[in-house]
Amino acid sequence: MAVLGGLSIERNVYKIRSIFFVARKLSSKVQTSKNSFLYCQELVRKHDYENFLAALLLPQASRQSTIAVRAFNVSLAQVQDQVSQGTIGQMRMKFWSETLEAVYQNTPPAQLVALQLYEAVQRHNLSKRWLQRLISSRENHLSSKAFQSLSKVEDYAEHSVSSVLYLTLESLNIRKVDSDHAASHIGRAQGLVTLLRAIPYNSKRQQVYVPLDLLVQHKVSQNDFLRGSDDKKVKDLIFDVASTANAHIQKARTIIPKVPSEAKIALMPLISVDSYLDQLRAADFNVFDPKLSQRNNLLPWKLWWNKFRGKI
Amino acid sequence: MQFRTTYKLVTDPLGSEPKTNQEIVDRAGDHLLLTEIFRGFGVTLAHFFKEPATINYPFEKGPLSPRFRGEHALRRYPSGEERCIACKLCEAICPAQAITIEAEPRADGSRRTTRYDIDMTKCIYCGFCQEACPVDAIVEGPNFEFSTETHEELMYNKEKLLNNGDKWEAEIAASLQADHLYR
Repeated sequence: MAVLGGLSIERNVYKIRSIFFVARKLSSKVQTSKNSFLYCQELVRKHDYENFLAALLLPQASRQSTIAVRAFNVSLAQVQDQVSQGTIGQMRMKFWSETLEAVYQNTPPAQLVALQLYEAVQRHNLSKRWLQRLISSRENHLSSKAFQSLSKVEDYAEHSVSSVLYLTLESLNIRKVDSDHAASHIGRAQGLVTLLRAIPYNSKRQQVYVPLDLLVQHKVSQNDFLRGSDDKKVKDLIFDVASTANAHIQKARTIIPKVPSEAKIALMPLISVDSYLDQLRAADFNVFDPKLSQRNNLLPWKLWWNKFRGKI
Repeated sequence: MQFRTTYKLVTDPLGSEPKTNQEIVDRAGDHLLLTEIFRGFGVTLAHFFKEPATINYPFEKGPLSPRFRGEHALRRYPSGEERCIACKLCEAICPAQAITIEAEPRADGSRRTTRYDIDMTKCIYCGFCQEACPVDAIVEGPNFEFSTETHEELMYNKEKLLNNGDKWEAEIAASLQADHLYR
């Protein structure tokens, strides 16, 4: 009898233990998810601050997915700065495309960005096409870095920036032609502005990515950019790029009234692009003006105010 | 024996030499005793007030570039989980074949390394491993003081590399930082 009693106690202990084990396993899963979200958020905050601010305004679930997509984008965008040889960059891109495959086959690797991306894909059924385009555009850019023409820059921007906006819209469960059309134009504008903002940074590293047809048209040499020249010719070139970006913004603004009101919040990056162009105009289209490289502390308020008014 | 007769002396062989005893003494006094010695003292004194060109090495260290490639380390996520997911890209890219990795899935299904060895005597410090790592797990940290007395101590295993990562995380994270997404 005593032996039997001992056995039943043992069985109970085992049962309790197994419950604890399952609970702990669950809680560790929740913990991992939380950790990976915090990691992604930190990554985006550090490397993509303005879009991070725009993402903060989204509703909870969609914000989490957008941060995951943005973190994925940051990881891809950084590859070209981290490698010294194209082949190594291709290896990393291969890793990310395999990771993407794994995410869609429900077997994400234990990498925090991949785990978050997996959750985002599960939550909002994000299209694989846009994520794949993020990878392929960066991979193509690795092998041919110089842009032949301004339209090539726009194509690159459409692939690498607009795709993120499409995914943001998907995370809000909006799949409409008009909102995608606006996102396409905003993405192009943002890509062009990124090109301008990167000029001082790239010049320091002896690199110039200004499209070649504009260099020829304005009779500007790449050396002018390396020296940080504020020559009239250089300013004219910058003006051309900025006005193309502005044209895209104006175009997007004409489409936005047709966009459903809950989609507008996904298009918030337009505000930061617009505010940079305003600053550039104030600096008389001299991209090397030190004021332009300072963080705009009014931007968070501007974004919030625009959300509050429901207007872009 | 050949005699040269067409050459011309451009200096007076005896001109600058002191000729009389008085001259010899004056010159020796000038050079050996007075001006040269005080000029020497002057140089010494000037250096006394100058900043030294050397540093007190083990206690002071010279500046290091953030891109310096020193001793390897395996990093962890802020949550404490190790970053490495055993993709073996570093092993593949390593031109000196200094890295050896073995991997198997863990109990929770994630793929992890069971063995991660670097032979530091094969390594040529090219930095390809850190360039190839898609998750920023293996890095070449800022430490350059890891000389040992035996060869065996330079065969690093996973434990040693993870310890390095824990020890140098602050410095490594600081040198990896970039402020803006430029692409």
